[in-house]
Amino acid sequence: MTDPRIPDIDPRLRGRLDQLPEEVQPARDLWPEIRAQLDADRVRSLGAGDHVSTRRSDRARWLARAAGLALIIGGTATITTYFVRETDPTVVVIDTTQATSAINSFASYEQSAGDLARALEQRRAKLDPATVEAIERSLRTIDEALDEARAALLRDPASAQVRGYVEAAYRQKIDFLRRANDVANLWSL
Amino acid sequence: MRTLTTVLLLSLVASGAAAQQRTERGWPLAPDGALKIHNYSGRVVVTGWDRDSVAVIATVAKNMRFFGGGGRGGIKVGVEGSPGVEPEASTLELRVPVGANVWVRGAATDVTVNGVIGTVDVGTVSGNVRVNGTPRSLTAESMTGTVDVDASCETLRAKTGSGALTWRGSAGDAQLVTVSGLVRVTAGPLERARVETVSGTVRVESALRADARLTIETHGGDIDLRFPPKTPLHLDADAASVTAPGIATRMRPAGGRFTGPSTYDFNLVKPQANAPMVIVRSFTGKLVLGFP
Repeated sequence: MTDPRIPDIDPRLRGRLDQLPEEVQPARDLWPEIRAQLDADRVRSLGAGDHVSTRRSDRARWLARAAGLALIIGGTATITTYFVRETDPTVVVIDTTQATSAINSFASYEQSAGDLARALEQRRAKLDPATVEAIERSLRTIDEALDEARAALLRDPASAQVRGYVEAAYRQKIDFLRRANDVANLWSL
Repeated sequence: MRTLTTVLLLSLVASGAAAQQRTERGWPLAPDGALKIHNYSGRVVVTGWDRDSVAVIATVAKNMRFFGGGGRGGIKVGVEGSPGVEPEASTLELRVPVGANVWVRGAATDVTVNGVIGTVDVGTVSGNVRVNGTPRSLTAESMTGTVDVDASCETLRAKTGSGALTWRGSAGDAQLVTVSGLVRVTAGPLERARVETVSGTVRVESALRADARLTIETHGGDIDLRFPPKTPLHLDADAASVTAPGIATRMRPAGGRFTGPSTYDFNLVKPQANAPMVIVRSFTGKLVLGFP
């Protein structure tokens, strides 16, 4: 079977190409080497500490490495999730690296919101309870919206549309916190 | 018995009045002078007049004190209490030059501004704001109260937290923002306007200028747009569902990908004709558009 993506080439070469297998197994399995390296670390000299604590420390090191490995695997793997519905079967592919990166791109917004929330918390005692309750209610509404939008971005990290919704929710949160701080600042003087 | 009741009621009213002090003051102020007004609790009413002076009638609670002063360029007036004393409601009624630049801040304070054509900047926490007239520029905010603007101006910035936000009028550049309040826009014609809510519903029933650009962004708030019959329109919309004349209701698949906005044209003479642009973005809100 010829591949239409390959332009006109020598028919003999095309014949050779067509004979090549479509799937090739890797020449060697990397896992045994990784495992051997981990085991080597595990049997390192015990040193002066007691046996139990050393075993604990080895165990912790192993867990840390395993967690790191899991993170790498998790980070680079592409997890395919199928959301199949009766009327509209849709395939959603979640790239966790891209998802994490998409969420992390809002770090500066998160930082600003956190700073403003801490500043408001410091002035909270100077505001009357009804105002504090109203501010908290509005912030809960914004946070719920933000959570929904962020969850959607995790499912669909490449979507500029969803990014826009996350950004809008952050903008609203920062603007509202700034206004609340202005109010607290003005009336606590 | 009836006489006794009447006497008791009158004495109660009289004691209430005695608990407040009435003060009248006045200062000269340039036609475009600045005026700063503070009142923590109660009411502020500002009205523009054709004189280059400010007249104040302050009805101040017994534990509060009226203050004021300044020059022809600017005046500051307000009501203040003693530290540690719970502020009580006071009322400030002011007449100001029609072109004055007015700045008002309150907490539990209702603020009304009438007939000022300078800049108006009003902020309160739990009180309601009402502005009538044609200020050059208007900023009106309330955290939990309502904002009601019956005004046409060059620029408008209006914000609430949970209170309703109502605007009747037109503006070259308008921005209306709320968290959960209902936004109502009527009259117009709108030129450049942006409405943002988180969960608040947006209702626009207004004419549009030929070069209008109306942007509405909500997270969960529904959007209801009503424009005059035969208004030509480009619509660029992404919402949970879009319902409009001549198109089948379009629903975004639940749990699926966001496929991006869709564009629609209404009442255009030619397909590429210039027409007002309406942009809608809503994460879970529904859009209904009509030309009743």
